[in-house]
Amino acid sequence: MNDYYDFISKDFNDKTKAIEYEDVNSLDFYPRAYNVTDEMFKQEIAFPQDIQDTMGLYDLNNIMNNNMKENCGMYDVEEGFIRGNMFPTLFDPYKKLQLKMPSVENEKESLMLEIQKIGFAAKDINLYLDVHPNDNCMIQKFSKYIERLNTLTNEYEQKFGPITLSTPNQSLNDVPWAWNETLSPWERRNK
Amino acid sequence: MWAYEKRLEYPINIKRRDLKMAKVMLEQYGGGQSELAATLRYLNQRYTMPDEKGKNLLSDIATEEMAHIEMIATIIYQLTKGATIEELKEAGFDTNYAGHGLDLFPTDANGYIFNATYFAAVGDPVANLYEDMAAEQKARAIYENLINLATDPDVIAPLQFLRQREIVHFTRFKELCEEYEKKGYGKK
Repeated sequence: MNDYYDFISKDFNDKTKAIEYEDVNSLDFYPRAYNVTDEMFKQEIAFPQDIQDTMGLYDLNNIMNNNMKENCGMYDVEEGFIRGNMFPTLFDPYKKLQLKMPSVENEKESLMLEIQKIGFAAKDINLYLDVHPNDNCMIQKFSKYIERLNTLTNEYEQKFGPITLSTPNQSLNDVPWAWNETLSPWERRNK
Repeated sequence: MWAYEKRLEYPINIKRRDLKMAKVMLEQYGGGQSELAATLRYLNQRYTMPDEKGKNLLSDIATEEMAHIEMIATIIYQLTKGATIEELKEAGFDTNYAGHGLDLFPTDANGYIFNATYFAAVGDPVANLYEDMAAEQKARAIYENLINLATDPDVIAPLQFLRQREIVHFTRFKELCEEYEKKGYGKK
């Protein structure tokens, strides 16, 4: 019972404790239909180096490997996107669920996924810079990601129609109006 | 002002209808700790932030929360699209259908209507930030509840993403709050 209350009240930025999930958080409670076998589910999910390294450590210098140093201490774009978090010190997984990249079936979805990845990375840096405006490394990274986002958006819009109305776009010169020709983003893949 | 991009922040492609899941997802669409409540909370609190840091943080997080409203709406839409009357009745979604058809409407999972008492803006930056931190924690817990209730991986993946976003938002509010308290902005 004590472990359960520890879980409720834990400061989840405190990575000094490796918390053993019990009771409500036990494997028997969790629905199994998540594409993993029982055996896989019961194994420790091997997160990349960063999670083991961050247990009990706050100092960014200690946990940075070479890749992260180039990325100002952040995950790279792919790893950050599947986690929903660009910052290793803040990442807090739930119940050892597996992380996976969303699947794509054609070039349109693949290009859209690239846009979503880089757009998300830029957004997360944006929020970081609002509170830490003097981080030069992050500022350069943000500009680089925004530039890449623009390139990818232009490429997507040339092939598949406009997704914004605030950037110059040749296809908006077509008749009928191309904005009506692109699908709204809440539609299913196979309608 | 706001510009709209015709894309989701994270891709959502749900292949199977599940009206019971749609019903509980409403909790994050129009409930007490929903993305809608978060958006309005931050947009209303940003005016009394003492510096650009606070104003920017609240505006930028509110903008992202709007994208999250869209994601929750997409999940509910894809979970209900094409539902038959029998499916609606069986899932208990018929009470929702009566008033709204298959449109979306901000209520919580029990059908209680959205209202502005879900958020506050009291005119004090530190008090507001403490509320924001609490709201993000509550939203995280609700996403954990929703993940526990979900069985479809296509639903769980965006929920994991959204849960992680709440954690990041919480951290940013916490960092800002600590800075404001050190500078003494909490007292008038």
